[in-house]
Amino acid sequence: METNESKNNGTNVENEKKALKLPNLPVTKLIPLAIIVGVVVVVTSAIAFSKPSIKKSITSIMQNQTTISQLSALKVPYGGIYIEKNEKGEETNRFLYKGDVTYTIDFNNIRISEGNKTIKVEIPNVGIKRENVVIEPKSIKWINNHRYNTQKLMDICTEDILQQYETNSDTKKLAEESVSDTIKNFITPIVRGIDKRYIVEVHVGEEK
Amino acid sequence: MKKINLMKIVILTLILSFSVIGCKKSSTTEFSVEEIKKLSELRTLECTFKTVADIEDKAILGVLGTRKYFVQYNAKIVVGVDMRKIEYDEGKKTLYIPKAEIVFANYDTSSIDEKDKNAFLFFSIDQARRNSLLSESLEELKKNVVDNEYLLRQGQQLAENQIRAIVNELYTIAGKEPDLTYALK
Repeated sequence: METNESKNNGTNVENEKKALKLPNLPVTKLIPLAIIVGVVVVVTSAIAFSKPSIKKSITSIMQNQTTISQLSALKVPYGGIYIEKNEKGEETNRFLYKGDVTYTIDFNNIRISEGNKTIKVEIPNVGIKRENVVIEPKSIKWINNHRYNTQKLMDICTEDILQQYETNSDTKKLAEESVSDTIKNFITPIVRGIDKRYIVEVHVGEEK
Repeated sequence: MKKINLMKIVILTLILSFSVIGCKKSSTTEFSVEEIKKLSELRTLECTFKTVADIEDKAILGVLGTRKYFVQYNAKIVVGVDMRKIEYDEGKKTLYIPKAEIVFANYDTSSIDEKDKNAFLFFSIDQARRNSLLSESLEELKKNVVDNEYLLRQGQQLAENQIRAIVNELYTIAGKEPDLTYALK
């Protein structure tokens, strides 16, 4: 005979069975599912936790590639002392710097013409371009160990150098001789190979 | 009140001591004749790279360790050939052109941009050390350019084209067809 208690127990047991009832999935279907879930978790974690390297992302990105045709004739090293003064003209500080400047010509502007059994080579003036003035930042030494804006220092040094050497006749003459020798040494064997009767003359700068 | 005014003065003094001071130019430049180097580099290709350097600043008195960060900057690299090394073999009618190399490399100080820097007042900027680290970074970039070879090949080809143009002009003047061959030295 069923009592209320036994009825309740039966109901409870059935409820427990329902609560504990698991889907009846075979193991062969579970394993691939587990693998797929695992791969997704690993890949997602890798993406989420990977830190892009700033250094790798911007190192060696070439911004600009320019074809140039400069024949470098002479490199002149120099050492300078820059004296800083206040409004009253009193010296406040001074610094030392080193660098070098390169005289160049435009190789494209070399002109070749023929004379009487003569190959005449005309080369433009040698000059200094701002980009060919190089200051060694490491060389800048303040006498009193004063802090300064490096870029401003570099600009000051570059201006100083350009003024000193653009019109320096001694170094300019040396640069012209260097260019002349280079071109002559390069062209003469070829000309002689074409016709041994020819000689090569090289003129640098404006013709007088 | 007095303490606040004093603090203001101290802060202002500190700011002024780090500011750029206007200066008048006066320089003496030494000219070293003995060290002049005669060059014959034919520069054919110029490249600007954006790259980074690892910088490390030390804390004042070295107590608080170091601060590390990246500095991004532009570097210019020029590729060319040494014209003095050109050789001409009259018998073989061959012009030997030397291999292209890096003839110039420098970084642009105005392009320096600090990345990932943690602002921390107590770290001093050691300018000499920073310049040294930037130079090391530049050397690394040069090495990468050499290992990569692409730019050197480009520079080589441009140099050959330039030299060939002049040689062809010589043949034209002589009224002959160019019969010179070119080879890499």
